[in-house]
Amino acid sequence: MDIVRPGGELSTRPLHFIWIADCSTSMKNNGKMDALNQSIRSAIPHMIRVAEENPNADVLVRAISFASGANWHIEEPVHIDDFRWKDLEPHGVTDMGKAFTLLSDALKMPPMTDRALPPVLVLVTDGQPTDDYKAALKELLRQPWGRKAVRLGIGIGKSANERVLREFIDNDDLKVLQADNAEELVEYIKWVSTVVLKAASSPASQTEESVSPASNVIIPEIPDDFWESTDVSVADVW
Amino acid sequence: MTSGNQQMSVLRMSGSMMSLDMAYSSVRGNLHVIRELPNQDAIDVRELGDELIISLADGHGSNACFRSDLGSKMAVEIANDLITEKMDLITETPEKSKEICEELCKTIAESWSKATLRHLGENAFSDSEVDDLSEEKRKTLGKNALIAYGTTLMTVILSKNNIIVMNIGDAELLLKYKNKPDVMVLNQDKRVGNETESLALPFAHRYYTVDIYEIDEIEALLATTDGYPNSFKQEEGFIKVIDDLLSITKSHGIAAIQDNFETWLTDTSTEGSGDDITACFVTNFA
Repeated sequence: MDIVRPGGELSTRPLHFIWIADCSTSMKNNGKMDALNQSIRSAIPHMIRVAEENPNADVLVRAISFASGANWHIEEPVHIDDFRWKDLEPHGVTDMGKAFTLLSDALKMPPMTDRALPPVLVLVTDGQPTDDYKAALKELLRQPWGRKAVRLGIGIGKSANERVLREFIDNDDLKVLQADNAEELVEYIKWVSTVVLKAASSPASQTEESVSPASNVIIPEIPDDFWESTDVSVADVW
Repeated sequence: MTSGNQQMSVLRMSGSMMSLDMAYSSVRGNLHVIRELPNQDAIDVRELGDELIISLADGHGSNACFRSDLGSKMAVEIANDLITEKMDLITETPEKSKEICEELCKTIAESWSKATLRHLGENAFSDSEVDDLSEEKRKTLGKNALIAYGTTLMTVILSKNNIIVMNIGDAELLLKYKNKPDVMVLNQDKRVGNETESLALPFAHRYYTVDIYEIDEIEALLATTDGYPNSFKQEEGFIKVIDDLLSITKSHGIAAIQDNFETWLTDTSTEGSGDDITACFVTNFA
């Protein structure tokens, strides 16, 4: 007896991975912009490998760039298998708040659904906001998916405002990733693209005690031998 | 009593006061098959003459909750044992039943805590269980070892007059009313993110909810762990499950669901959330 399976259309759970990249003019200095472009591009194969290990998570990637204003650098969520990185070009100031506003709108329900996996939001900056970022960040954290997202912050060079990145992360268990040279940037980008992506794509439920109250995904710590595995050798220091 | 994992059962109860059709199954999720992990869901069903008790639990399954498959099994058995003892009182008026059930929530949470700590006392955490945990997570476990056994728990009691739902966590319940097109969804608001309330939390009974429905108004119910609703592209797709199960029962009988439930749930996990799925469908209350 052949009876059709009950229920409607099935779907793996979407996992939205969003890069939020600083494209201010200062990113031109010391090859920071080039290093970021190269780091993200080189992380794609690793992300594909992680996604393949979890066929029930549909990893969708997009990117916001901010400088004088903010816009979607890659607006439509692209499946990781089809994702191609388009180089960012530095120009203007650091309107980070406008990027948070774009992010808030994208994380509202709809367009998001309540069945998604927690999104991963990665903020990369070498400076400090030139607009009123606080109100926009507050609105972002007010959104259910903004609050439940895994928020990570990478500071590039000494001028990156760590306090602002900490406000974005809003989780005492997660540290700002401070990249002082291209080699470190490559490794941090690889880490968020693999270890964090893998953690976020698990369907395992958590109790509020087994994770930080500010996050619902257990992010593994960066291991002590993290730097020993690198095969990149870039000498310039930011 | 029937309980366990990857099982399937059908029941046609036909005592002097009550009859019903029921089918249930619990399957290991696709990701747990890939990662060679056990099913962390559990279900236990008790038939007590005219009454029925169904408990289903979803062990949390994260690396800090490495004994949650045990925690979920203990939860469903403890809940059903304790409710069985109080069943005579529960069948009184809805107000009285609610009062008894709220007390029972506390007793269940406390008994589960004691049972898990007893198990821990006899089976200390091994190196292999905690090797992969960060220092932070080990400290968290040191403060609250129950997290290793963490689980949700939903119990549905079908008495002569009422359906009582006692719940902690993100299991979901669909209720199909007679003479109404809409299906009621319990716990829809708990879906965003993977965080859930748990028996492992301190004062867990405070997170419990108790809801009572008149059985005469209900045509069918579907209780399920969150792996089922999370497998559908749209909300409507999940709600459609109960309508389809009703249609199948009417056209082919409950045995048809019995024959296919495990396959359906396994396919649903594979093409959907990848999570373990446990579901219990009950209809034809009379």
